[in-house]
Amino acid sequence: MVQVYVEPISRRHYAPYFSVAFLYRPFCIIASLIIAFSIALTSGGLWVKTHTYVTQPSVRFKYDMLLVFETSKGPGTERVWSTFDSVNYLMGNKLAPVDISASEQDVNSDGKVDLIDIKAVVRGVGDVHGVKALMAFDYSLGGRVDLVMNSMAYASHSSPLAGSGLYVDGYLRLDQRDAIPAGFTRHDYNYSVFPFAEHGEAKGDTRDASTLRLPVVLNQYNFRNESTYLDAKTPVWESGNSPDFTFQARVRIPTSQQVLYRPTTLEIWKFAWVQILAIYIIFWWIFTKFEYVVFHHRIVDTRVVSDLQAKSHRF
Amino acid sequence: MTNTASLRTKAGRRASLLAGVLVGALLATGADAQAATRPTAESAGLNAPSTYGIDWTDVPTEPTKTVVKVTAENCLCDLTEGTCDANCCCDPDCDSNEKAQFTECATCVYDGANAAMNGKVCLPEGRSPPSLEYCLPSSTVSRVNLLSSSSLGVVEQRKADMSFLSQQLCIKDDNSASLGKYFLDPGFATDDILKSSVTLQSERFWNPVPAAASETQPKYRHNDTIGVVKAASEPLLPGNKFVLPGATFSGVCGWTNVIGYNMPLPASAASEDATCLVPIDDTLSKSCTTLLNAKYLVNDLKLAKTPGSSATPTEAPTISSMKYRSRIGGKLTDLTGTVPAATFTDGSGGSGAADTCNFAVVEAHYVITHDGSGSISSFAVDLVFADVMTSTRWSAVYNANGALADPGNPSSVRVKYTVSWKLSAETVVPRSGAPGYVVGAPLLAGTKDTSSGKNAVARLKDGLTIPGAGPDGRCSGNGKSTVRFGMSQSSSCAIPLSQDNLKTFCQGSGDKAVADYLYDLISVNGVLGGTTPDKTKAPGSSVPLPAQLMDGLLYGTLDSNYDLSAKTVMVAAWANANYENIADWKSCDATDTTDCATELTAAEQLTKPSGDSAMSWDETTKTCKNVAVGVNIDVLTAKVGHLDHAQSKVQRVKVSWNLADWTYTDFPWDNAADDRQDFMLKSTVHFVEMAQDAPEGVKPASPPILPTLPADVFYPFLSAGPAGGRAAASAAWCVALVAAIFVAWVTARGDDSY
Repeated sequence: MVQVYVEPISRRHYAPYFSVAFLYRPFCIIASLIIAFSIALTSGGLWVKTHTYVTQPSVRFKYDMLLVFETSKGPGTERVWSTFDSVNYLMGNKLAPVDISASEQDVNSDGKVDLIDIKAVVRGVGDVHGVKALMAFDYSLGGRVDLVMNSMAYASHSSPLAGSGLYVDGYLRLDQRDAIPAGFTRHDYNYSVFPFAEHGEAKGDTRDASTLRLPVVLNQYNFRNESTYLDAKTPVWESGNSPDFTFQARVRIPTSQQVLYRPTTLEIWKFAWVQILAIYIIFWWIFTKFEYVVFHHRIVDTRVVSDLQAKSHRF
Repeated sequence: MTNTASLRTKAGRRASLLAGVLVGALLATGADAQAATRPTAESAGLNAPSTYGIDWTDVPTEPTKTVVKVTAENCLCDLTEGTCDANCCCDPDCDSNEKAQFTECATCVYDGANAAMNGKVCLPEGRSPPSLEYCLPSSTVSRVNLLSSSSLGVVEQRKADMSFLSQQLCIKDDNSASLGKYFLDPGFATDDILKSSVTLQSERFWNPVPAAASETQPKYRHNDTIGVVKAASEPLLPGNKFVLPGATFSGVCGWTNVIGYNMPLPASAASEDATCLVPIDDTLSKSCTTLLNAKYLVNDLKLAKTPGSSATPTEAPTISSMKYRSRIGGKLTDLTGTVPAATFTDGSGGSGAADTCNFAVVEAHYVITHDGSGSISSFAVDLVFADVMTSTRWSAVYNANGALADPGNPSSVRVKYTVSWKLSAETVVPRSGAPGYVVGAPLLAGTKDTSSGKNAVARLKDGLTIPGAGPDGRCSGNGKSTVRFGMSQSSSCAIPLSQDNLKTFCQGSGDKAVADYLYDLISVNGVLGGTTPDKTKAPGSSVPLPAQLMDGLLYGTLDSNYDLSAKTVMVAAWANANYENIADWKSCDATDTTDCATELTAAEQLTKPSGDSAMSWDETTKTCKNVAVGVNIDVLTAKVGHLDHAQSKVQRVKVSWNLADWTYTDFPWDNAADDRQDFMLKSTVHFVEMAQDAPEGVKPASPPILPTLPADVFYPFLSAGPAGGRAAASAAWCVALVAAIFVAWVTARGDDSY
């Protein structure tokens, strides 16, 4: 004879509702959960409060621009070119004749601009010793966060040598002070970065002169939670006494822009759940083993019925 | 007529061209060659248009439209018609000889069909055509244009590679009409399409979208521009609007402050002063007749009472006050009479008023009165004039005597304008906040004044001040630095002293007020009418120098030369304190009423240092020890009010001396009587935040029964609010209880037979 099949015979434990024996298993489950939760919480990283993802922003040049050329004739002789009627009006005797062009190129045909080239040639301003350029963009992010804003790139250079050109080439990087909340569209900064372009200000409108100053404009811009800056590590100043001066900016849009965001509740729970579950399973296994000790050794009161014992019938 | 003329012109040009060729040929052969000569007379005009010559024999009588094929097989490097583009391997204009001259490249393999181009550098020709791999031998149809449209891409059919995998995946038969994604030629574009496209992209172009014209209102509204009304032959301000000089991008003055109705200038007490610079170089003579001239700023200035072209003008501004500011030291003297227009006196550095803009307006403070319903009633102005000298003139003044270590002559003059608005009955008094101080706003201060048994505060317009430097960096009684709330500061200025001067001063033998000493030192040799100072004279030290420069403010010993000495100084605890109600300026101790924290009586102010702190001279090291170089003001601040909107107030003020040792660096070649060195006065203000209890609620929270859990225990649900921790704890226990009951029911295994 050989053993062909094994059939376990059970000893069944019965107990009334709300007895200690009845509550033992729920207690184990709850205890396992609480312990798992506590360990996950105290070991850190349970709630993922910020997360990053990578995307390519959609950037378009707004054709809003301000150029200041500082010349060798000294302070007060700077020449200005801007796309703002109000500024042009106030700077009427300081305007510079500029031949400017801009192009946006989608190099990889993915529907997003990858390169923005801006070239300005100014003539008749004399020797240029310094340039300040402010360029405005429409900037939007998709994916985990939905962000639409106006942003700026600022480029400047000055030199004791008179120049014939300034060439800046860099990435338009996102600068965040805090994570962007995911789950809704954020357009808190979808207004012009230039205070003199707000509300469609026209020439001759009222204007406190202090708001024209670049430190004031940049200070206001830098107060924002999200902003952009031109990460141009290799500016080239071509020195030379030239009858014209060329400012050329190549603004590259990063294909892998890291964005810090605050996840939605579901996403937070997703990461929390896997941590809790992983620890819970360990403790649930331990409690299960201990259950045998509790019931087998009659640590709690139960009524034990064996499958070998004939079942009494009620009539 | 036109055609005939055109033909004649062309015939003429051909003749000229032929002549040019002949001349060129002659020059080339050298036969009778002559150097080109300059045209007899230069003239203005436009150059002839530059166009390519037309070979009329090639022009068809009936032109037919060339179908442009935008296919992937285009040769993108063929950029020149009629000639071979170097290294453009697909250029049909290149013959085999030219292609043979292309740059060699041993490792290069040509993508196209021409195997002869292998081993040559080929320019990019565009993307290679799409191709499908067929399971057909190459001898069968090798190329097919799948669709008849001329504007579509061409798909090339090619034999699949013989590798195992390629043979499994090659195309046996194809009935798909798809060629992938492509742009179709949109055909004829109508004017409407252009308009709508321009409209869609209107915000992305150099020409901004024109703003809608605003309607003219019968009354001014907030921030409307204010018109100026022109009388016959009177000049106008730029744009026929009330515009004041303001800073341009370099800080130099331009007409950039466009004043708005009911908009003060500067916008608030904490914002920057509305100042700008006027260079005093060669352009000063022009600035003198424009920016600095009272003619434009005052005399001919009449504002439109209401908007519109036919508005009635106000009268020219009432002159509330007129003062003249001295060139050295900046002392203000009252002027009477009519407002003088600025005039420029030319010269070459001689005595008197040469190279000077006389009666230039360096400060103008307008107060505009309105009726509260959009009309301007009148306006008044406080003026400060000065004689502004050119930099050449300043050089003459500073360098004439050579008595200064560093001349520091200025290169520009700073001018200042303010505008404030009021209803007819109001007195405009700026606040530094309401009720708490705004960081950066002047610290309100004044001296206690008594009349008819009543007390009030003579509030200082600039707020509390400490000694500061004048335009040339030297100490000036009129170049004070305003103490601004929340901004700890250090302000320094220079006093030039020779070794003898320092010794005399230190030993207490000096008998000149420091302002007089500095004035005489700079304005010597009669350039500004001053007298050569006696070398032995030195600043007096009976009253410490900082106290002299502050006119006795915060100095507790009465001295008749200094108006503010021994006067009780009040600092406003709250920024909106009314100066006519002195009770608002006091915060006295409930038990000791003589201790009023922000009130400094003469006894609580500074006295001349004595004892161990007294000034003493060390001849060996040429050092004057324990010089009172400045005041130090400690300001204790506190926050009051709701946590989210706390207001800052001043709790207590205390003053003390800053003491330092002044050492004359004694070089052997120095003349003890004449060679002066700059010694620095330094005053400081220290804002200290009071150590306060944590913010309290009206009702303290009940102590927790359950253990406190971290604030972020249930972060996604309870992430906001200061009470997050406690709420989270409660929620945690509730959730645990509910879960326990639920699990108990679920895990109970039926059958209650036993």
